[in-house]
Amino acid sequence: MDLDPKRDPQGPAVQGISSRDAARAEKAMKQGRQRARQARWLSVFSWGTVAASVAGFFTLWYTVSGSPVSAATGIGQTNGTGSGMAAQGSGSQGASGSTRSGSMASGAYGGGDAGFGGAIGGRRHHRDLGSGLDGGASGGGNDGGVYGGSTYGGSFGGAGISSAQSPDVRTGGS
Amino acid sequence: MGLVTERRDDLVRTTFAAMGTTVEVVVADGEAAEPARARHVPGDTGGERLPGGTGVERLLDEARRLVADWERRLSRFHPDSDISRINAAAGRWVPVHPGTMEVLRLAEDARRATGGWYHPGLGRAMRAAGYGVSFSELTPAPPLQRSGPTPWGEWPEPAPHSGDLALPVDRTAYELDERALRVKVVEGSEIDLGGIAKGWIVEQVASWLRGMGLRQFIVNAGGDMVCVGLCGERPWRVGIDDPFGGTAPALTLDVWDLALATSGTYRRRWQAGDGIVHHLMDPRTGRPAQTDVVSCTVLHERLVVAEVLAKVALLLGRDAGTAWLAGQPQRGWVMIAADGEVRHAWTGRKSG
Repeated sequence: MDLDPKRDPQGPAVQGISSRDAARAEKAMKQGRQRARQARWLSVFSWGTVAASVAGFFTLWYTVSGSPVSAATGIGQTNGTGSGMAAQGSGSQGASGSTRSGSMASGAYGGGDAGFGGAIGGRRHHRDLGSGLDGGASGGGNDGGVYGGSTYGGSFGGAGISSAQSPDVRTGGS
Repeated sequence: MGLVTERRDDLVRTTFAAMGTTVEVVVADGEAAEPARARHVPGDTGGERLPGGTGVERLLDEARRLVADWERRLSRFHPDSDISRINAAAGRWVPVHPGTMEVLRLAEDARRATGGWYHPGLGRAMRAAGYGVSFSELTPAPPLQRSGPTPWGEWPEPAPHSGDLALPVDRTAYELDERALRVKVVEGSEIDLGGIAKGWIVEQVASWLRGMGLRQFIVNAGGDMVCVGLCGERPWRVGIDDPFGGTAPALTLDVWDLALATSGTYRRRWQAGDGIVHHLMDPRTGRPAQTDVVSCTVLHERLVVAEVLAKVALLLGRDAGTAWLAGQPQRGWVMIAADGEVRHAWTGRKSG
């Protein structure tokens, strides 16, 4: 007995390949291609490191984040007082924990005397389990003091203006 | 320069010359003293551990080898690199390493995403400006002076035979056949992966070091760096160089688990005839960009993205660059203008 395709939208169950099977096969092939692609990248990094990201550039690019407010000042005025960045380093987390920005000495850019969003994100230390309201500060939720916990490509790192005078490394116009 | 390793201020710092700059790997001393294989890392369920007996110095030596291997594939200054082979065979398919294919794909994605402001086909323009050899072989220009809004005068005319250096920014410089792992450069174009390859290599090294168990370190190539974890109990401190030659940083940042890149017109500058040129080319003209920004630093989860964002913002200039960055998925940026103004902005949301 022939099956009525209108009653069985998946198509014949016995003869040939039903559309459901075809869909499964297609899915399996797609997964196979994905695995092959992943395997290819694993082979690229012969030392066994998983590639930093298999996500496309566009994925990274077009996830547009909230636009912060800018601060403007001059060289030589930037490491002064008023930024609100705690010397012990935890204060900087407020910078990334906030979508606000702070000026340096003037406090004119929304941060007030707490500078870079101290009220929102600035109180955290890295063992405080990432309580940032905007998700950008410590974030990782590791109780052992490890920020993010994943690779740099997908972690919840942060940044802000430091009150420290002696950097660990320097960056310049490359 | 060979491999130099020193311990100071609770940091193990290794430096070596590569990619036309100084590469440094900085490891928090606690990491170096306590191999990850002997340490429980909460939330870490996998990944490799330091092999028995492996010291951090040995890891860093291996990191140098990785950098050298990738540089040999991706630099246009190495005659046998994939990029040189592609450029020498314009219009023909050239087989490449999968890693090269990945960087070329990222570069093309970046060109599209920036409307051509980042363009990987600027090799010919770079050569015409004199940057056909490694930067160390060029005659350096004197330090940049603080100036008015437009710091640059007229550029020296390019060599007569160089023709029109402007690029069709809406068109690709090469075709990719990812399945067959081969690349064909469009005739008249030359690939230059400056502005993306270095960051990608740094990412590979950082990823490898993480895979080997390190959790607190920085890989930095000439200012483009990946900051992993913390420096002990505090964020990493990254000083942004003063473009006008001051010894103190123009600004110091606290950074953890992010990458940052700085583009600038003040360092890779050289004498070309009677004029001074820099290495950041405007794709629309094929000549060094005329911009009122001398330094732009951008933070992002991915260093390759940070590099592209920093470069394009610098090319756009202070106001257009500020507006453009506001719509981009960055985690913060610092811009230093030719008149000394420093602009910066921060966001807490994850980029991607």
